[in-house]
Amino acid sequence: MSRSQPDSSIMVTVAAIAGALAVTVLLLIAVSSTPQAAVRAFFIGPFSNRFYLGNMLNVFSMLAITGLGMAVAFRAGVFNLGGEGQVYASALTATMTGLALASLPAVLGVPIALVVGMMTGAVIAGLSGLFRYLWDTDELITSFLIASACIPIVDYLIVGPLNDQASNLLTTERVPLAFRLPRLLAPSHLNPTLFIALLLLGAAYIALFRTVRGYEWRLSGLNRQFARYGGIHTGAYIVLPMLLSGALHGLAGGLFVFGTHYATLVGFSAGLGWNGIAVALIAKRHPLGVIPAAAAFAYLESGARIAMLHTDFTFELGTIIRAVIFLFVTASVVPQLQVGGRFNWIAARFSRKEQT
Amino acid sequence: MLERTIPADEIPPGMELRHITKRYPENDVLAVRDVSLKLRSGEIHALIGENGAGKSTLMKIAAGLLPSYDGEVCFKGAQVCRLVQQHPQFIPQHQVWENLFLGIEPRTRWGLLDQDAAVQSFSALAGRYALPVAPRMRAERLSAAQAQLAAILGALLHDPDILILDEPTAPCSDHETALVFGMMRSLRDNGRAVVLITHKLREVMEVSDRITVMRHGRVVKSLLTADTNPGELSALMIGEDCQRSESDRRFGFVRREFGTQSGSHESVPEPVARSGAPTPPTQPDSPTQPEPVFELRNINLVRRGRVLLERLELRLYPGEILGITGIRENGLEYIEDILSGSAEPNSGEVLIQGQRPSRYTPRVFRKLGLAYIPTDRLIRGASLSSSVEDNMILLERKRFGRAGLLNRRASASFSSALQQRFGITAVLGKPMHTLSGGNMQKVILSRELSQNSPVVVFSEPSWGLDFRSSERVHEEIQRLSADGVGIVLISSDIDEILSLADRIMVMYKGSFTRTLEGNDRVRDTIGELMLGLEVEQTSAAHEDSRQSTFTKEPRQ
Repeated sequence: MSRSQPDSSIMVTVAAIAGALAVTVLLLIAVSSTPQAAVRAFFIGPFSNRFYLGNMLNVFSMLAITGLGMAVAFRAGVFNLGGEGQVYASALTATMTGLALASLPAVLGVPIALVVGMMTGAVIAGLSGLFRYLWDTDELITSFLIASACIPIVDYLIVGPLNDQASNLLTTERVPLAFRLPRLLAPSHLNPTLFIALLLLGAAYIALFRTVRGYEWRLSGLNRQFARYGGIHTGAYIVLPMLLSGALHGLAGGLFVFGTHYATLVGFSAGLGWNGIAVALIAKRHPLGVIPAAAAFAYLESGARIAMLHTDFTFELGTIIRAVIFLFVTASVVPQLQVGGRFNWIAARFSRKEQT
Repeated sequence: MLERTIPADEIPPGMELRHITKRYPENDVLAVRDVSLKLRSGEIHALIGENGAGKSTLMKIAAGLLPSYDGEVCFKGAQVCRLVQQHPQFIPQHQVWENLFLGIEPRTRWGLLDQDAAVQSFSALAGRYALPVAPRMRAERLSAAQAQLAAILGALLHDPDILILDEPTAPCSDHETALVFGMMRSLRDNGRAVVLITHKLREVMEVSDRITVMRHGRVVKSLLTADTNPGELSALMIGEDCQRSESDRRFGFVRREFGTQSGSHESVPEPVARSGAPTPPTQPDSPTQPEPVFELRNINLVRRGRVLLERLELRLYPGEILGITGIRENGLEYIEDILSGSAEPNSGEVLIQGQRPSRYTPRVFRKLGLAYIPTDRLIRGASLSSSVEDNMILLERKRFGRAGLLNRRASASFSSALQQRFGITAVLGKPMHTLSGGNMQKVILSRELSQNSPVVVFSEPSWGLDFRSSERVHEEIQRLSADGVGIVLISSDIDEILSLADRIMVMYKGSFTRTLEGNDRVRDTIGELMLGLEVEQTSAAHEDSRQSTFTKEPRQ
């Protein structure tokens, strides 16, 4: 087996997305005074000019990286519910590293800052993996708690000691000009993160499905007892996936700074971590599945934002539509995870108590 | 209720199946072909046949569990038909009674759940049919045999007119089997129809009134138990007129002749006379004996304050088949975990080929030369959602690595070589759960035996297999032993142990009672040791300190 076979469940996901869109249109028609314009803005808006298209692709690249971060953890049967906090905290450490290394050439400074960001995420998530390995605490809970605790701390640091005195915004100082990634479709935010994301997805696909380590990784996720029985060091496949998942979220945080915002703003990661989970689920935990999943999410997200700018489409309505989409998609995806019946990866979680 | 005095032919049928045909469209298998069958009240009807003969499918249709089929299922009035499936499923975190009363919960006057009533009626039922299951036990702590009994009680709660049992005795020891049979007879005597799906002919002969043999989805023959014998039945099941002779018999079955062995009836493996294997050591300490390949020294296992294994000593020599038997719940599953490195003993030593494992994990045990065929094939022994090939290469995965990349071409040719050698009917790229039980076990065997390990631990290797498959497994065990491999065979099936093992160690309450060798290996002695009769006689054991769930009365 080298790929998850396309099957009817993909059709179910597609149908769910279509259903969500239908509800969206109905909502727009019901609520908006200019329904035609709203629908057009929502559906065609993202492609109407370079700015919107670029921004949509930028959202896509960010979601692709966080979605991949979730998918690799899910594949090993571990859950990282702290993506949000990991993105946020790593963005801050990456920013600070960038500011501290301002005197270095960008080719050195940016990679170092990104690595620091990745390490931040890896440590935050890796702790949960380590705890589970050592004491069998549930990494789903601990990753959520640890990362949630990070958010107010980062908030405080941005508003307090690390605030940019020169600006009135709730933000850190901006990284030096030389450190900023080039714009690809100016004036949009699109930057080389897009290529990095695609490269990572391809690399993850090969690593998971074409290597011995990937075989062990997936087997640990599918059936940890079996993997242990076969002599696979299953403890390692609790800690490693959490480290990697955290590192990918950290990378997303760092790239968000150097590619999009050039600074860490209070709450700027909103949704990247959570939506990453949804993307990974829609993608069926498959690295290549992340591409359409993240694209669909980015499209809907951008559509709502553009409709908001151009029509009487309100912010709340945008939130409702996002919720509807989320609801439809998860409703279609989550039962599929149990289609395998008794021996799916969720069931495996419940039987894992005996072994680590 | 019908009286047993009515002649069998005049009893109105409990249920009649007419021209049932079932095709599984997903793999285009014709599982049942034009089968007509009467399930009479007041009768125990055995349905036998090899794996895949269509028995289970037919009975699922009878129980109304399969919606689409051709043909008719007829019965008079409102009849309750319950099927107890082969691997009963429970909500693991819930107690037994909560599982079984799901959907039929008794309620108090206020409409609240009446726990006491549920537990009481469950206990009454368990008492009436003498099936010892504790209603308040969490389902995940049930042993396979207890789970089976619990599932049967769950069906009985519905007071069925027709009770269908699919391989109910697969996880049961002789003792539990006797309990299940008692329950079946009692139901029959109350005028219910009981159907027993099985492939254990001895059981069929013992308990059934009527036998229907199925093969390839068709009924081969329906006959009265009194009019037949195991020889005829096995011939009907296999569908070939094999030659039969007394020396070919094992388990009361007819031994199939395989090409190379034909014509040499005398050499049919009676374990004692087996050639090629070294004589089983009678005096382990004598200097001429080879070194043991596997050794347990004073192993103790305690979990949550309960002593599970106590002072176990074991020595296994090359070429020897060492049988460990006992009633389940007496430590068989724990000794399996100790022998395979799945659990760490609290004290004592394990030596594999004279070496101490650095840690108690299957990984280290395997490195020291152990192969292991587990009881639990569905979770421990296989990854059901992985492909067959991925299941086969588990132990060889490193060999297929080239600079970290998995060489799929090499792994595919490795797998198809194994597939051919073991005669596995499977598509290598398909998920493991598409395989039949027999083929699944063959995949596990092929993987474990591909390592040429000097020690192999088999645990319940023929559970749930039809006899052709279990014959295959037994042949494989004997071949290994002839090659000088040391084999531990854990099995609660006395027949299996008797026919294969050179030495037999019987477990009772976590300890070995006695080791039987040579002519001591007698069925009755083993049975008594399993029930702890000897222990109780010699040690005048304190009855009140016992926690076991089974009765201690001597059988027969």
